[in-house]
Amino acid sequence: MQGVELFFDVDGAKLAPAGAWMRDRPTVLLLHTGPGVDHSPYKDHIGPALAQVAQVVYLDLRGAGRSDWSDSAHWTLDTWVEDVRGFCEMLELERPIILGTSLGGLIGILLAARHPERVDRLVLVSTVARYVHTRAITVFDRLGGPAAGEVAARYFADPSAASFAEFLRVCVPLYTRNPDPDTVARIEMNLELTAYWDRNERAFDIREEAALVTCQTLVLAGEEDPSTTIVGTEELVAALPAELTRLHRFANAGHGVFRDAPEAIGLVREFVLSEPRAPAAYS
Amino acid sequence: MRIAVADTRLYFDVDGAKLVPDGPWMRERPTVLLLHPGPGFDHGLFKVQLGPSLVPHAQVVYLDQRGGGRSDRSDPETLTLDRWADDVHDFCDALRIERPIVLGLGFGSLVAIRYAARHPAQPGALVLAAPVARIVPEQSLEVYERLGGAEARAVAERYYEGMDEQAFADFLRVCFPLLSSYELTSDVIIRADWSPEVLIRWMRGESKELDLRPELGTIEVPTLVLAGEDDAWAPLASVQEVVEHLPEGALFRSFAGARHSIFRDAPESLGELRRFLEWLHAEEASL
Repeated sequence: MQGVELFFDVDGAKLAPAGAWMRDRPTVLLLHTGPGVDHSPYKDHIGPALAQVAQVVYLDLRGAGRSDWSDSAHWTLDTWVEDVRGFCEMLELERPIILGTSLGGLIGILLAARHPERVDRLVLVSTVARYVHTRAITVFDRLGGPAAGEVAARYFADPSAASFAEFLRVCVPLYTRNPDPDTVARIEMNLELTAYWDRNERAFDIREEAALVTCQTLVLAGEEDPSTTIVGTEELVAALPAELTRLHRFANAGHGVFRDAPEAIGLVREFVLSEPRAPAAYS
Repeated sequence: MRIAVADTRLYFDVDGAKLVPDGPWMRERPTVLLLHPGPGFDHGLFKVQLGPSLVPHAQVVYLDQRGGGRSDRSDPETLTLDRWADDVHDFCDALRIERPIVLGLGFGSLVAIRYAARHPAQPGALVLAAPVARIVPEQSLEVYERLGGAEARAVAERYYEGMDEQAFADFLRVCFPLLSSYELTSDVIIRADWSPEVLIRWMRGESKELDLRPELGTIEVPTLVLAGEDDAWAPLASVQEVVEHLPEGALFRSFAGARHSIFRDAPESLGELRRFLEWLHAEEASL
């Protein structure tokens, strides 16, 4: 893909025998959170659950996991969007449902806005249109006390090696109500990418492009998410076309939602199995 | 999904993840690539039993070989065993599938043999289900006659000797049902997206000179051979000939009462397959 090799994995067949026919099942392309994280956390919950009703495609984005890490010049939303478009083209994934968490959600929105013919529907998990640091600091304060808020504030103000280490120690454990050390151990982390992104790329704002989305969109957010806050998600939902967008909030869930609120898995399953409405504005 | 391979595009489907969570690690599972009977047929029949039985143990990749199923029909001049075999190699190369366990049934096993002979560095292991080294009509005719009487023998004779559309139609009506001990209609004939012209062309052409005996001796990867003792497509004597020409150490199992639909007729063959996978895993771990 644009000179790099991307790792992907698949679970669940596309074609399933059904009487006299082979029935096409939906394809769900999972775009992971990050940057610097890989596809593996999806294999704990939502991936295997969806594989029962759909073909699930896991992709490690450029810079992540088992894909080529490339370099910081290419660690941008624009590159990732083009990578995903090229990936779908290369494998003839026709109009998959794209489920993205956080960074993956951003990529899903931009892909749907720029290439509406490529995306059937969107599921956006813990996704915001822009980072507003004070919003995150407020939630870190609430979840971990003022000390946590201060660590986050120091890191956002100056993402250095030292403040990053402190952030990883104090703040990252607050991302979920049910942390699992094995899940973290299984990720092939690219912390260089995480640090680079936090130093240089956090100033994005995709509200204008979000307004261009023409497909049905399911949004899932945890009210106890200190990273992509519920306030930020509400702002994103306001930017997406109202008639196509549905927001589900989960009271006691943090970042990524599925670990803390397994009932969200059923919602996504239902959404995947429902018939998509015709795109609103298709030109 | 489809991917560009050489001058064509090949359809493939996948079931079961390659990497699965296992404590603090992501554990890699083997990849089993399934090559369907044919030529000109598609992967669909493997989805009924064989594929799903492997998914708990491996990533299963279903491939529609050139000329059949949802793959491009391709230039007829390229519908040769060499090209089908090279496609397997190029397909694995394009998707970075390393050391696949390549399982072929019937015609698919011929592709697997040619592939392993031409690209010895790529496969991790072979499973040859109902393979033959040569098409020997007389051996098949005996089985057709034993299972379907004189009419079946006569129809099969025309299929092998004077293959044309009528001979093929008669074969489908009289002989094809004898290749399986279950009702083939919905699972195999109706659901498949097949191109009979590819089969007819190959039967009239390349199949006549087929002789895999010399290349069998060059296959160095672990190989499991499975035979159905009532298989008219791959009569037991023909399968035994394959085993005789493979290097020593190839594993061979035959199943009484099983026809060409060996995995469905003899479910114990699936257990045999799982044991083979476990053995391969243990071998790899001991290296």
